[in-house]
Amino acid sequence: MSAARPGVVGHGTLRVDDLQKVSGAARFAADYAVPGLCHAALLRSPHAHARILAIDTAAATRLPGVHAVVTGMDPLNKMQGLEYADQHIIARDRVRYVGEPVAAVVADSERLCARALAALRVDYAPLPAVFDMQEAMAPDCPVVIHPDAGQYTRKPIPMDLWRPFPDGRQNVWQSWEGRAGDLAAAFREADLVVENRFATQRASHVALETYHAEGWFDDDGTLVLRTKNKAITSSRDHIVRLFGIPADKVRVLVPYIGGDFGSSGGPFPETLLALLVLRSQRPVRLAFTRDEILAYGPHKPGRVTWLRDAVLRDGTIIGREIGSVFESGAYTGTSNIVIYVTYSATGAVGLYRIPNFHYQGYGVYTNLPPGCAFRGIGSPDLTWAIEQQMDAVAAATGVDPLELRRRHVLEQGERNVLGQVADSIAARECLDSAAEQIAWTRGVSARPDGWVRGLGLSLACQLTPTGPPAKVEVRITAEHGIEVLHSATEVGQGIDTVVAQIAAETLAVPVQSVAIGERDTRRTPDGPRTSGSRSTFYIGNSVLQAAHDARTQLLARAAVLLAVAPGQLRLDGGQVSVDGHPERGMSVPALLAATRAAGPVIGRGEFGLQGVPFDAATGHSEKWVAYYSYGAYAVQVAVNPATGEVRVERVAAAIDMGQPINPTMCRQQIQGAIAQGIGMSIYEELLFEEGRVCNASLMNYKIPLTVDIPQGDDLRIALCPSPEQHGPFGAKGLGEIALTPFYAAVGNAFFAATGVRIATLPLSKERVYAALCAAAGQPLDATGSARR
Amino acid sequence: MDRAQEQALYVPLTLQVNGRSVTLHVAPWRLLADVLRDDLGLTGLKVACGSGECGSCTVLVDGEAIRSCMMLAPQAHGRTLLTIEGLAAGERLHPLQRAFIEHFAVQCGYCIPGMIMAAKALLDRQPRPTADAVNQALCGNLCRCTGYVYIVDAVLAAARELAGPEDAA
Repeated sequence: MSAARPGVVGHGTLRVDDLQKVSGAARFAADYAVPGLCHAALLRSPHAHARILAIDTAAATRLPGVHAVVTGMDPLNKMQGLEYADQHIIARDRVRYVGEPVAAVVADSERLCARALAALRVDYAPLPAVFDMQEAMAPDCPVVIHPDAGQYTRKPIPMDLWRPFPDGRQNVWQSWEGRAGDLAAAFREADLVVENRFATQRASHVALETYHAEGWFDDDGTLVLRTKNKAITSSRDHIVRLFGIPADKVRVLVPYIGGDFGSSGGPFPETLLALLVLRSQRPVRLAFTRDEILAYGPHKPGRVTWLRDAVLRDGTIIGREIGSVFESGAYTGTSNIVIYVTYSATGAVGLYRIPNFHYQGYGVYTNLPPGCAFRGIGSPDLTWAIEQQMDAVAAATGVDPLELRRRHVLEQGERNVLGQVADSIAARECLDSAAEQIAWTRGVSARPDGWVRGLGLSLACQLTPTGPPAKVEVRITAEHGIEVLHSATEVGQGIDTVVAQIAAETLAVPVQSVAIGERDTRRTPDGPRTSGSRSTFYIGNSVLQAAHDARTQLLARAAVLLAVAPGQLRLDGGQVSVDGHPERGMSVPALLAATRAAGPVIGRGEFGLQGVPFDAATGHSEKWVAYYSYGAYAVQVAVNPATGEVRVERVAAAIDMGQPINPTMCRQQIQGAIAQGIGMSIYEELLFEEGRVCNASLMNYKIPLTVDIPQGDDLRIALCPSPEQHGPFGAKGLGEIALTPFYAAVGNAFFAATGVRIATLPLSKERVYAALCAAAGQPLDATGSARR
Repeated sequence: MDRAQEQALYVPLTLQVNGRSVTLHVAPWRLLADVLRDDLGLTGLKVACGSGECGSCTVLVDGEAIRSCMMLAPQAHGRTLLTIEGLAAGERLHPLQRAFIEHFAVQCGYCIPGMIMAAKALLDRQPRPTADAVNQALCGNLCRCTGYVYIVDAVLAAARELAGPEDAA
């Protein structure tokens, strides 16, 4: 680990993207002018499950100004999938959710598109549908959503265990099992058994930027797509592979992204856009409105988790059994939802020492819109269950919830039950810090305002997996100065600033001297998707390597000119000089001009981490996880028993993201996660009727406003870094762990306030009111009123 | 309706935008947000919901914060508009813009032009707002990244700079 240069790494330097963003000059996908752009629109299925008998496109095709009408029968309509190719770009033969694309049109204007859609005739034969994940996973479920699933191709995931359709469960596309110790013996030895079931909701990411993309053919026949997709390299590769276009004839551009939270990163909708450009041979704009995204996804999936703990009288948990199911909706292909299952088991053991353990996880198809990754890739949902279970154990044994967690939390260097060593863990520090900041031992004093209050704690881990290399280039030229090319997209998390800080640190220049290259597959080196809290670690390490490489090259050139050994030179503030002799030197531009014949200086970095495959019988791996980040929340919740209203009044956060590269940006992300956590805990939920979303507008799907967030003294944030030996300057990841522990802290505080535990998110007014009435022996009548 | 019939319905539209007078002919059903973005290239404002719920399209019309996705372009005829592009004086940023940078109020940035314009409208009518007043004034502008905390800090800091010290008032 290198020491941080004062004022760069480890400091809250200003963000490199802000000037553009406050002046309106920052460009997102919809902000470019493309001449002659045609519009595209989709005809979507009104049925949750149906056979497509026929589509009559003749009338639509004849309309003047309509340039393409594409249906599932098109030979270019390929099967796509990130890991599991289970989805046609446009439905073929069968629709599996309300809103599934059945046909697409390209026309001169939006109004012409609407007329073309109205001219299409589709005959459907409706089929029975299944929406509940537990019904769908049953071996005897009469609805089989993908009867041909056995023949679908899937990308080999080298280290993963792939067990589809276990025990004849035909809608289960993935199952995963992990085990350690002797669980049966633990339950025989236990003084008590604590058993609970918890569930989370379907929800929307509500990234402020809605989907917008444009595609066209360049003069040299290159297919160019400008889109909102956080995975630039794999987005190009999907197009190349599916349509058989040479890699140098596909170019993907990704400008600034207006928030992601897991909502992009798959092959779709870019595959659809490419198909429409190929068929219309025109420049095409494809965009989805807010209401379309809310209605048709992709969505954060819902999840159900059962926990059964073998507990000793003193509160020691000696055995734990977890069953956890989540539904992917009708397809897995559009997102990296597939790895939810693996993440979950590996995440469930990353925090506590519970020697006897069994985890069984399922990923299940339903006839709902496709699910996809959401901040934390299922860990916040799993933590909603595990951390409320910890409080349930505490309540059953009379142990303080803080003390119970302290007793079980893993120590630095300790191996968890599935084999991974906790290399850098400040979980206990996070827990203690959150508790101290909220004054846990003091509790909450009652106020005569009709509201009841309580405090809740929650602790969590969030893993980032080992993975293939991220390539980075640091280019230094006399004309353009220092430019870093990297593939992580700037979704608001501040990766461009982190990259600039690391490059500036290594090249001993101010942050403002480092430019970040636009993301363009023609120039940007290949790298992983911007997900899983990985960019600071993987991209950051590669920037470090590339900047060191560039520095070495600069010094080697200067050494020749100055006739000294490279080791005698120093580089600082854009000057190369002989150490101790500042007068014997030259500026970097002068050096580059003098060595122009050698070409530009291009430093290269390529950092990846090789993992160890899982043991098929036990789910053990010594190294599947690159690192765990940790975090704790302590919150104060107020509940109005008369209305069911819940407010989060105070929040204390303590997060271990490894060494912060920019502590102020860390606080930014934590504050944002708190807001998202409040929304998901208290009001955000997509409501369905027969597979159709009923609240598909921001009028009826509310996200938090300024007035919903604790501020001032009511919001406390501590950074509790445990430096990671393999991280750049000791950094780990932050985006997800900032959210993961949140929901359960609210659930535990709600229980502390009311004595009632609501197992299902969100704690909406209706749910809270009904639960409190039921607990008071006043069940609701058909109108939703309590009989008092 | 063919193109010629449609164009016969167009109405003249004169706007003062960011200190400049512009005259266009537009279809009367077009939204102000679309005319500003597509015809005048003022893409700073964003349309993130199209139903007046998110505030990303906020611009000032005669000094009032307006959701430009909810106003027909002809309704702005003859009026004075300010968008995010017109806020800075040349290279010199407006104190709100500077405060948003210095207080780390920006993440993805998509909501920020609307947020800053809503804040401008607030400070123009209430130069020394309390934190509560800022929270209330901005609660029609959604942000998914920041949790609003540094945004409120930034608006209060800009207010202090613009209005000067309390005792000078």
